[in-house]
Amino acid sequence: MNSPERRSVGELLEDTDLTARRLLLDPDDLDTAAMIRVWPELVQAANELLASLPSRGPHAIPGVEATPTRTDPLAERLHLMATALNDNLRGRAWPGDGPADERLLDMTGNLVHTHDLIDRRLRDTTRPSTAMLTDAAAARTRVLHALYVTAHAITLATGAEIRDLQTNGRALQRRSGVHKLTALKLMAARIDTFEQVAGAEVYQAFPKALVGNRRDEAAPGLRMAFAAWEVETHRAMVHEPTMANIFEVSRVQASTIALTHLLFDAAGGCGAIDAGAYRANLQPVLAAAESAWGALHFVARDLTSMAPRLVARDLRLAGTQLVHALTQLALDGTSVATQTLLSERIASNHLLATLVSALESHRDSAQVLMDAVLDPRLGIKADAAQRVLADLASGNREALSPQEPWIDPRDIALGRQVPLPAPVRGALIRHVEIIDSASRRLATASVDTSQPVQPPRTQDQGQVRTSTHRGALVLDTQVAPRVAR
Amino acid sequence: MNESTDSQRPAADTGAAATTTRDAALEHLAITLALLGDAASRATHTSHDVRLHIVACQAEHLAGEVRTHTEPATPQQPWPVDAGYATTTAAARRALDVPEVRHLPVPLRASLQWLLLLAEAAQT
Repeated sequence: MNSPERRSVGELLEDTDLTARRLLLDPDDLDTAAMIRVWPELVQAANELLASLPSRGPHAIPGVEATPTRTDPLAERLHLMATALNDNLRGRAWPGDGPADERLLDMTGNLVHTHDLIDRRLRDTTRPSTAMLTDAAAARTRVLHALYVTAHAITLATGAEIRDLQTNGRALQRRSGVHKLTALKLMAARIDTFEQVAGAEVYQAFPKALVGNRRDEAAPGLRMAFAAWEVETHRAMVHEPTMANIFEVSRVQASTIALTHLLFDAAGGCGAIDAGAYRANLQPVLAAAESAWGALHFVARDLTSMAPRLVARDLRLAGTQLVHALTQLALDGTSVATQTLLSERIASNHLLATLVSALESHRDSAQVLMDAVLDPRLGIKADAAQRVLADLASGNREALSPQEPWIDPRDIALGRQVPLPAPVRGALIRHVEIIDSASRRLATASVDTSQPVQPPRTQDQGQVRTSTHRGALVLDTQVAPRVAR
Repeated sequence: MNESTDSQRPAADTGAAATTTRDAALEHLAITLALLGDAASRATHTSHDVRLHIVACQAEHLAGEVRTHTEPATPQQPWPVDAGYATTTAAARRALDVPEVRHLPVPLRASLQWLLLLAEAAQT
């Protein structure tokens, strides 16, 4: 029989964080398969805990009657990322069934206990006090840090295992070895993105939030809008991978990059960033990313035109909110804001960090989009499929014969939904691959360029800037002594 | 009782007809907004005006929001052929200015008005 849990919320969370840090003490001992088997449960427990923490209610969306549901957008997004990875790995030979990592199981148990304690204590609280909100911020940071460090440990273990396999020629001659390598590479990319997303948030708040002195958030409305959008993108691509939702995601992504481009141009113009470095590095990559998202959007648009698009409601609301938030920064009435006004907004909102963080997350969107494009449930109207197939055939006659009957004429006549024809799926996959490549370059270039020319830096801002230097070990070295028990 | 029922029937019929007319007007508005969104999206091929991106996004979003105010059984209308950005903007303006659209909530109408002003400004 289990003994009753006597640790406090603070102790449970500190133990969780400490366990995560100990994973890094001896990375060679880490068992990737055992860790990844528990990973979805750990992230789910974290998500449920963070959703139970007291917070201020969600913001209303202008022009829209519905109010978004209350969640922790970042935790929800991380949970969806872990779920998507788990779904992808479940159909593969590796990691399969086997033992689970005990330390991750302990962490999961701690988070579940913490959730229960908080839920019991705060069930009837409708208006949290300032002190409660400060405690909640500290708890949230601790949990996210534990996830971030654990993701980093899994990244190290995965990288080591990939290297071992690649140097072991005999293993790769077996089909199981090749399958394992494929799964490990997929996992490495996904966990790496997870680490980036969690890390960006951790570096924003850590360690100030742990001592109840949370730094003012940069452009909080925009940041929340980005977070909500990223969560809804994940939800829609995982649970409702429809062409209408892909259309929506691609359009909002293309538009946010276009608006971000405008704001960075202004930042370069007013000296908020190094204009030369921006023009040389980030500007061309922004243009390429905008073009890549735009190209996918044009295909998705043509595949869904001529009928109402049934975009998932929450995805649509999150897109509305995000575009509205960026519009407020970019426009003055119905005109594009002047350079002077844009410069004032950039300076007064400190929003470049938020924009950089959003640019870093595009790769995550590309990954989840690829899952949706490969999803066998994805279908389209037969007449739209026929139109796009005709376009593809006119562009590449050798690859796609117009004689090949991909669509049954009866389906077109009756306006039926049909499975995505292989050539159309192939075209979408190519577009998403280009987006993925552009997103990778975008993440690197945005970080390299966003350093201010004459930064009015305090010590705290210096710590935020360290988010550009990734790696949990770096974080540990810098801040661990300040939060040690 | 029969007399009462008979006297109420024309009123009920009138109400149903009004609802049908309103739903048809709203559905037409939603279609023109979706077309406006697509036209703005096409216009971004050749223009760097970021306002077109905003129009493309918000027109489709508001089309979805308008549709939430119609009955689910509203008959689908024939989808007009895309006629370019300026023509589509004018069509959306006409669809927004019909009296039946006044039934929409004030914040939504304000957002629609702003969107049309932006769409008109972006073509100048």
